[in-house]
Amino acid sequence: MDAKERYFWDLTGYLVVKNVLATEELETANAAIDYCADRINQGEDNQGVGDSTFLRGTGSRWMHGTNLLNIDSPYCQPFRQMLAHPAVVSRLNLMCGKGFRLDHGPQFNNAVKGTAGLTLHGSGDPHKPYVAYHHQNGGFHCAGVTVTWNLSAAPAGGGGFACVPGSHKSKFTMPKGVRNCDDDMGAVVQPEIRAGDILFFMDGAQTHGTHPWRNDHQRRSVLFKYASRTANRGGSRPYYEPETYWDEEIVSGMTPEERAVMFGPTSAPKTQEVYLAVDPDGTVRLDN
Amino acid sequence: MADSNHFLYTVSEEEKYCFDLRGYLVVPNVLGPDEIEACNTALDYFADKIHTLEAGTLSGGSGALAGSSGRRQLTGMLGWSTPYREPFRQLLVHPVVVSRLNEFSGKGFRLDHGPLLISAVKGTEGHRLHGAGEPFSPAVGYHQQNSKIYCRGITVAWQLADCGASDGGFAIIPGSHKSNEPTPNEVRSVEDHLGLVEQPEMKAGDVLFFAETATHGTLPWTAEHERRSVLYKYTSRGAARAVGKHFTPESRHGDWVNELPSEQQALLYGPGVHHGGRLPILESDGETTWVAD
Repeated sequence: MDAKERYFWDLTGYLVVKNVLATEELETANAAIDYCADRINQGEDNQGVGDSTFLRGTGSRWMHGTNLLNIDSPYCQPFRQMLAHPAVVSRLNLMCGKGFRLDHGPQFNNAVKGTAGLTLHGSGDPHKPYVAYHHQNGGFHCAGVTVTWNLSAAPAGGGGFACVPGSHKSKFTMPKGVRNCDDDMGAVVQPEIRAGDILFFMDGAQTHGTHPWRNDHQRRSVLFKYASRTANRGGSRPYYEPETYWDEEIVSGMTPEERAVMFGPTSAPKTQEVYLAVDPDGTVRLDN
Repeated sequence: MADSNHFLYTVSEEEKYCFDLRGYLVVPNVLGPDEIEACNTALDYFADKIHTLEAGTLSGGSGALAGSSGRRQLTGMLGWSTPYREPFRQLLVHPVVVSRLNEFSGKGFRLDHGPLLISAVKGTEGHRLHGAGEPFSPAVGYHQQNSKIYCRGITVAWQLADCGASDGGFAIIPGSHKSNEPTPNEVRSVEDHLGLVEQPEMKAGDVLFFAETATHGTLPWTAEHERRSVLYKYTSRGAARAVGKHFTPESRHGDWVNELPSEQQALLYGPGVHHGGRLPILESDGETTWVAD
């Protein structure tokens, strides 16, 4: 990661590294996607666009419930090679710090001409510790970074990944027109990306989303969601139940309030059982 | 409860100011005599399980921190048999704790590890000061933004015995959670602490909150009576210091990960830094990736 890359990353919150995959590697990865293409799901039209006019389109397309690292061999191999690819490790050791980990993914995002976009999300404010960006004494401390491997091109103006450069440092609430892209104030960019390029972005800290797909060819992106060593996004949820995370005798017989603080780490608990409140008389209760 | 005043269960603006400025906060008179006695009785019951560290383990060669014996410690209270575990489970989500941590760490805070009894008798050595704002530690980092505190690691230390003004025990450098320059070695060893190190006076029944990222440690214990402080280590919802039961790739993802080379497996470990050296660290020169020795 040279000085130009470091400058660009800190300033904008994203980075495109060109020509990482050779033609043959692209073909292999695309063949693997073709192999499991019947597992691609399509959502309802305009799902995820809220009240936006700009982002409207046909249902978003993605593959879920399939771990690309564990599909039949040899089709899993291209994705396993992406996982700890030197172009990734050399940069994430600096962006997240050594000991970074895959939090969840890889996730396949697909689109055909007319596929809807996705409302922009993430920002420097409100602060979210589990994905936050911090810079100190020449070092990056980025809690959450997504690495997107692009198996097809996303030409300028054609849709796909979009973001607000610099928004990982914002301290004010994002205007609605930026969030839904109906009045983006010129703040939103859709970087030109070619097949074989990889995109790094500060997932959660940086404002990002998806523009509607306008190209004749398919969008094909594979997203690996990494975290720094001590940060958690959604990937630890299977292990966070108190009875799973701790030894049984530690949590056996606990009240719901005691149990609330014994859940393991995850930024997305999908339960209200982890939140506590205190009444004026000192009663501690679940805050749901 | 020792005090039914509802202000005990809400965080005042003065408390927020103090915690942000200094990195610690003492809330006095939280436990009544009966509650202190219940905790101490339980600790007495399990006293034969107290482990004494070897002298020199924690003082790190400092003349100012040296002592004739090592720290005494005990853990496992939440899993003890009834009725001995109950006092410690009550402390776990005590309203004074929940009200402060909801503000300081954010709702959804969690117990990362502990509780841990730290005990000392006269002559017990100190603990070299550790933690600081620099280098930045993501596991416990401190941040404040738009009038809101985001403290990823907070330790809550319940005092079950008095800590007089010069008794020793917990010591801290106020404001050090925001330091941006390296901490001088002589400050960490307290051999030349520049007048920065403070040892707060506390009574049995008080509860201490401190930011783990603040520079803190222990001064040698000089009092005739035993030091007894029980520490609960909390973190914000998405942070992890301890690794939990499911840390290895196999325990998280299944047998298929054994097909992967070590470089790929390295990225599938669970979160946390208390892994006892089990975590493979990846290196790369941009051309190849390997696991560091």
